[in-house]
Amino acid sequence: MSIPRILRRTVLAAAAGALCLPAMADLADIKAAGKIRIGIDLSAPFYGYVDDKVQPAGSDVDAAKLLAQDLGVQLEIVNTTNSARIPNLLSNKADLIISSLSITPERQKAVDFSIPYGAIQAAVGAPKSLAIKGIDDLAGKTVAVTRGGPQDKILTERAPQAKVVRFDDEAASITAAASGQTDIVAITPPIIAAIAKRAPAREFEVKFVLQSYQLGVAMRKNQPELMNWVNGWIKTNLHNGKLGDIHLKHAGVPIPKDIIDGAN
Amino acid sequence: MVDGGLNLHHLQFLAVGALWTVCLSLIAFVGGGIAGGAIALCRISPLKPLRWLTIAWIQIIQGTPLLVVLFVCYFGLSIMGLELPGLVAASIAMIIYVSAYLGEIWRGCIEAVPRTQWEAAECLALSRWQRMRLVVLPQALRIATPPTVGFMVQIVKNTSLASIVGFVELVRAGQLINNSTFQPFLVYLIIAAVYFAMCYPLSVWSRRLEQRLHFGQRAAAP
Amino acid sequence: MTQAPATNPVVVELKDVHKRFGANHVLKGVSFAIPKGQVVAIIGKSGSGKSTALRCIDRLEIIDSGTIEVCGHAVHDPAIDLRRLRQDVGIVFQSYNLFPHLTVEQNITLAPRAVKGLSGADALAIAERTLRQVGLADKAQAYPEQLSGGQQQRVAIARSLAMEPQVMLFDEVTSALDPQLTGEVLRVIEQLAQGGMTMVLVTHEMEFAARVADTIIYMHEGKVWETGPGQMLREPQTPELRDFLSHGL
Repeated sequence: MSIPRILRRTVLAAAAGALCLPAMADLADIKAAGKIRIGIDLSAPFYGYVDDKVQPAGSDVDAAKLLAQDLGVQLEIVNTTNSARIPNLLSNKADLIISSLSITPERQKAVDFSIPYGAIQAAVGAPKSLAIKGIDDLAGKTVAVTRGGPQDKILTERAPQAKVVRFDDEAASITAAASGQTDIVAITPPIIAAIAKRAPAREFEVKFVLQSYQLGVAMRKNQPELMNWVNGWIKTNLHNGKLGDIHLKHAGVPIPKDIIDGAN
Repeated sequence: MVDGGLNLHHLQFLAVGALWTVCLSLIAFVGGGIAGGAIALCRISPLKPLRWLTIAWIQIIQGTPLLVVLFVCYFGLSIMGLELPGLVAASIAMIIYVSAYLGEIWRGCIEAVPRTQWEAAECLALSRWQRMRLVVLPQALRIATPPTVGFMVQIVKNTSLASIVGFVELVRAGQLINNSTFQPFLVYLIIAAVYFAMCYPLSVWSRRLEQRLHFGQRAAAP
Repeated sequence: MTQAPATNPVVVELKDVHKRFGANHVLKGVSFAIPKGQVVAIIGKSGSGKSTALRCIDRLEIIDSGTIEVCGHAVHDPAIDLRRLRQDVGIVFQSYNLFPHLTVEQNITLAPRAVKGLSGADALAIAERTLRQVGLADKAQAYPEQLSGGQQQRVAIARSLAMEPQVMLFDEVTSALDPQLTGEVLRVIEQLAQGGMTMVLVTHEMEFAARVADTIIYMHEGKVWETGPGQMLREPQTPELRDFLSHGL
């Protein structure tokens, strides 16, 4: 676990502990302020990144824009680093976090999640020429992962025979794979597609999916009105296809059916 | 998603990040320097409680990673109700951090001035403050130049940690651009070059200062 | 030898002074009195306590018991005004201790300006006078590191003289110098003595002491063992002094 993660958890524990959190803004306060602050990590390609005019873009950004629009308030994107997402929420620097946060029991101790609005998959990609069908095929082979990410954890647990090489962020993994430094990556499907686009000669493709994670909108605990509204909004926009379109546009694959089904 | 090279917007973004790095470094050095000077003097004060307080401060801050200090100043204070913008929180954290280190460095330099200088000044009836100001501090200044400038380079590099409080300095700007264009070699080369451009002049300046202020260390001519 | 009569008022008086450094009993009841205008040389082996006794006079060391009176100041009193004492007493050290970051002239004008509040012009006049006195008028703009040991020591003397003290203390001021440089410093000291300055010299220069001092104090194991005029060195009374003289130092 990286040090910022440990620090974040320490701060979470301290915050959730003895400190008495003052009454935080609920839906009414946000509406009164006329502005909603949504925390997004803009160094997480496809979910949050900056475009060639250095403006926020990505599926989480689009979702945030839609949410603010539907709520009738201005959107303020709080650009956070990966490890500071939840601390920003807990310390009231942001009202919501929409930043490829997968719903995990650990996180649920500190924050509340909405119903899933999207999914992130951990997949294994490699050149067409390599025959990899399942996790056992990784034994003895070098696999690149992003440090501390869900794929890192899965591989460490389920493929102990694999030689795991850790890179600092997605971009580093992409470069390594495209340049031929590594053959196998464990990362998300859209990024595997990006590798393929970057180095067409290598013919990268998704070999198999390790695991699918559900993404949720995170908010501070004890905000029933906000929770209800967000859940309602997610349901509406999953059914009318808007969230599905956003997912398809950025991930290159349609939103998993179970997410839509789960919104009932 | 941009798969191409860096465009003007990106370079501009990096330039702004570099400017913020310089800005935060200056705030840290000037603010931390003033605080550090006070700490150095308190550290050698004849008043015991003042000395002990200062020692405690130095030990606590030096024993805490800068990342944690940043965290506390931004998130910790926020939880307790004190909202600070990123730059302010980062500045406070850096000033606290720098004050403890510069304070100790300068205290060491003051104490490196031979006791005989203190004695000679004392025997000329100079008051404690006069001894400090006219005799000891000018000599301590010369001794302090190399370690101080060396620490300035540390400050510049440590500003990259401020990204955790939402402060977009050069490294974070690079990270954002990198995850947008996937040109890590180019991006990090630029960042390394900019850091070098910031730090190298400091080293040159340090050497020049040392030469100009070099007194009393050379052997007397026969 | 100066012409100061022994009937002048006493300006330095030690009475039964004791000083310990930890378990080391360095001064074991030292007493002597110096009238105005007299030159006293203190001689003895290393460890005899002579430098310590000298430093106690200017309260660079604090005594454990006994009394020290200097120019009307009660040096043994914790409530003493040190600034006033140090204006009346000048001290020159073995290692000169000039301020390396200042020129010779600045070294000398520093204290008169800072302590006595003299104007730049007045302080400069004093600096020029004292530099002439020690024979270094042309070195005013030099930095200490550019001077020889003998020259630096003479500047140190000028620096102390600039404060116009009543008593000058010299702590083995030629011990760190090459023999050929010792002479120039001793000449300055002799001139000062002839000018009527009250002086206490801790020194190893026996010949100089015999010639210039009115009184010589021989210290042995923390006590004043023998005192007398320069003649004493030719006719030592105690076996310890005889021993000390025959072995040189």
